[in-house]
Amino acid sequence: MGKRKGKEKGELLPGTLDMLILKTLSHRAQHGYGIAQQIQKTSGEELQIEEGSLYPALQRLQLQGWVASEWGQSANKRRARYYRLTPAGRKQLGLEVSNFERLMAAIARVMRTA
Amino acid sequence: MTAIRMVWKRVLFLLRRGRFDRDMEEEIRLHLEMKTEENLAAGMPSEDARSAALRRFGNQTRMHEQSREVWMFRWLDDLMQDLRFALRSFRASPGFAAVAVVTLALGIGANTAIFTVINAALLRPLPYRDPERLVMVWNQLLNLGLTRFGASYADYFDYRDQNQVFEGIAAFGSRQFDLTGGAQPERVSGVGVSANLLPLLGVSAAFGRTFTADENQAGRDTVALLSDALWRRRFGADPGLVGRTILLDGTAHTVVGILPRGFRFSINGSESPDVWVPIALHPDPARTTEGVLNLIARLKPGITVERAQTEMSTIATRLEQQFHLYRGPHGEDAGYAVLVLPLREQVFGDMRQSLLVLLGAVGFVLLIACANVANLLLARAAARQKEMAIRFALGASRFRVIRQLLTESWMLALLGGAAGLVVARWGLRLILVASPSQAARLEALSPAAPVALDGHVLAFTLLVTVLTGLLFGLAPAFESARFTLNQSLQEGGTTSFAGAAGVGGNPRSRFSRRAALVIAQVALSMVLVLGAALLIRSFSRLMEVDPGFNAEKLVTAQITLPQSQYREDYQVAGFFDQLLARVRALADVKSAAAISGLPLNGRSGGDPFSIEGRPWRPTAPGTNTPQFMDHETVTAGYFRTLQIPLLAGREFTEQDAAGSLPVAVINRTMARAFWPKEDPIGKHIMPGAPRPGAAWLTIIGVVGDVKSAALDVPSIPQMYRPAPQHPDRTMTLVIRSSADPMSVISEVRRQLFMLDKDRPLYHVAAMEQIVSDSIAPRRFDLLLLSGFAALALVLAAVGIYGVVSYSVAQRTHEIGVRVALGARPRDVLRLVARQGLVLALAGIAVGVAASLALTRLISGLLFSVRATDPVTFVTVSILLLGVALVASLVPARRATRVDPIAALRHE
Repeated sequence: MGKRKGKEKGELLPGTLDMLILKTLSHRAQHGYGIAQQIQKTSGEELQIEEGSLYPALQRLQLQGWVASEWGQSANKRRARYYRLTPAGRKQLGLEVSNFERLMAAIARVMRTA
Repeated sequence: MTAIRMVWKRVLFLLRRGRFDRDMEEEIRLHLEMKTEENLAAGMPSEDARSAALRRFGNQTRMHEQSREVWMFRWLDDLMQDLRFALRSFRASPGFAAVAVVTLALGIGANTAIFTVINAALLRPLPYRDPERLVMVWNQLLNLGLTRFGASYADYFDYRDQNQVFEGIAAFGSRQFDLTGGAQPERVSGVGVSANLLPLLGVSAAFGRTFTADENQAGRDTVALLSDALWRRRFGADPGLVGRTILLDGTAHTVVGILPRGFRFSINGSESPDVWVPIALHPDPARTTEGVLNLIARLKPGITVERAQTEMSTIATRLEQQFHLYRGPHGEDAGYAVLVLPLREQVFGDMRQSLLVLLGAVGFVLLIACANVANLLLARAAARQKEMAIRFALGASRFRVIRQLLTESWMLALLGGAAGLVVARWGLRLILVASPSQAARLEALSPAAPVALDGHVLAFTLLVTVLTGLLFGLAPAFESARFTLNQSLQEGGTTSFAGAAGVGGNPRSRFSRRAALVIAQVALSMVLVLGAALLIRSFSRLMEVDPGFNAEKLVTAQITLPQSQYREDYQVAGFFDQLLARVRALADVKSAAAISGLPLNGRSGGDPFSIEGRPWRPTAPGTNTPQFMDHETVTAGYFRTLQIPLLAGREFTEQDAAGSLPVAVINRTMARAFWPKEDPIGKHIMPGAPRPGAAWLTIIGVVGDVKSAALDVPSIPQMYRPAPQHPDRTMTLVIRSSADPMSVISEVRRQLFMLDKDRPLYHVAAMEQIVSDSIAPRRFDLLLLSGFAALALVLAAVGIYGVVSYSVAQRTHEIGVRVALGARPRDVLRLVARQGLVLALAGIAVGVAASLALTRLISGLLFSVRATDPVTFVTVSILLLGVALVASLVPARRATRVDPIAALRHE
């Protein structure tokens, strides 16, 4: 397994990639490229997903059973693999979101103390 | 998602790997296409669009791998990879692989073979229900030297009724019958049993039934059970036999059942009985010591052997205090006790020591083999420096490299183990052929799967293989992985004498590691060879022992006269007289006689006897000879037939008949012990204690000693009585013929048939065979240990050869220099050979030290040789030194042929 790289511009907090992917897929099924595009666009170009992290993350999510995939046709009639959220994944998303928000609130509290 | 489901998905992935890879590639392709299009749409020129997309994407291969790894059992994948690589590298250097595998096969195979025998004798359950709870219950008269003998009827009932520790206690006793009323009379081995014996063992009849309790009474006991073997052999497996009668010793017995196929009962070391009859057991309120019963009992659940022993000892003490039954012939305390002995101990106890010694020996052989293979691997490691360097450069962790090397070692070990199983099978066959009597004992209890490779053995082999792989693989693996990148790349795979830092340190320290291994090998093989040599000396000493008679061309055969037909003494005596007269008249027969018990039959002990005019003492004054004698009945001419020398007085003649003076002949041991300064001729003795009305026997002759128990047991006092005066219904004929002894037997049978057509001749054997069989167990140990010692020696020699060769290769440059400076071939030879000899000497020194400590472990197996016998030690040391010399000379000679110019160029 590769080591984690140092922090760069737009580097995500560790562990949040999964959450972002799940959230993206909660709207509709997408192929890999589409997921990356979506996150980039929605975050206002702040978050750039490394492809090298994206696909391994997608495999992990499939292994855990939170995401399922099947082959379908893309907009341009090309064969693409579409990922979608499973019910278990939806539940997991809820968990991760609440964890994340709790964490953010805690950090915010610390930072607010002068 | 539970962990189990994840594992399951990973398992499924193993099958779908190919498809995964194709899908992944397609996904990546699509992703790149779309990215490229995005770039083009953003206005990049077309060449840049594609390369920008690629750059952005990053390392495809790595990503693909990482994606795949999510799904894999990483370790499994690594393992497969390592295995494939190991196989490839073995194919690349087949010579190394072959030598290593063969060495390991020999070491592992030898261990497996011995373990198989140990398994059969010491570990495998005996073929009865819950055999670990079965025990023998023996009476003992310790002060009379009797450690295991049978119980009386009274004892049986007392033990049965008074104990709290046994579920049941059963009695049995060996019998022999003449089975007549059919084609040919046949002597069959049998056993008399109490009705509860077979249920105690967990055995029921295959046809019919076993005995009922009321059949253990006189008058109701004319029933019989037959073994499956006898039923098939003599009665053609006829199921109608149940209910019919057969004649045993002339008495009709009804067959009530047939025992199951494959059932054996060889507890006392005798053959498994073919005919089972009930014993007439009766409680003995008079408490005589009548009866000689072997007792077997089953412990209650939760009761240990120790607990049972305590209980029975208590009962014994109580009985003795109550009844004072067990006294010596003159009223002294006989030391009565009861022994509770686990059944396995009874059957195989005597083999334990030799088997454990053999296991130790074979363990040594394995260690030596491992040392050899370790040396091989170390040498190989030196040649693989570059490969290791590249691995590290590609980012392998030390752990990974070590793991890969260990996998190679285990691969070798597994191949060696598999080959070892083949070696074991062959070895076992050899062992069993070399010692048929031992083989028979092992098979006696479990003929279905005699000494064979079963589950236990395979598990053992696997365990040994894994440990072996670890043993010889660990050190070289750590060696190979311990160095820095810089060093090995700098050296570029060359070696030079002046302190080059290659794999794992400089050649000097590498050499000393290998040297240490070789010294250990030599030491180990020294111990083994010494052990074998001591056994060989013991054996040859034993072969030189004079049995006291001449066994050449002597044949023996046994006959028993049943009481029902030969009720009177004179009938018995008359029969044998007539038979011997006929036999002597045969052509080819030089002399013939009969005795009630042959020499060398493993009998020990004896009965106490009295000397007129002397009070009985436990031992003869001034000696250690107990006042016990073995006594036999012989016909006139016995001593002449066996060529036992007559030392004083005379032999028996026809004058010594039923009504004349009761006489006896004694042997030299008895004469020397009890009449050291007088002439024993004319003195009076009596077996047992003097009884009113019993006649004293007058000693009329002294003959030479024979070994009555075994060749390695000293002779005990022996008394012989003439057959007419003390006839015995079971006599063994001894016939010396001028031709092949066995050819005479058919003639003898004919004569016997003419006298009594129902009397079979059995236990026919040449005396020389009997002598040879009596030392069979020793021969067995000897052959095996010698075999292992030879193996160890060969392996050690190979080890020395290897190390010296290696050293020669290391020192090529130095040798070139020396030769260039004028060294002669002889000097080079001496230089190199000295190295091997020094190693050997060191090994021998360590070996001698170890042997001095260890050989005392086999002193129980030695005969008339001390465990620290100096002659043997010196001889073996010289032998080892010689072997080392030869092993060193081969590479030494190679060294002399080194071309100095090439050597000087060689870095």
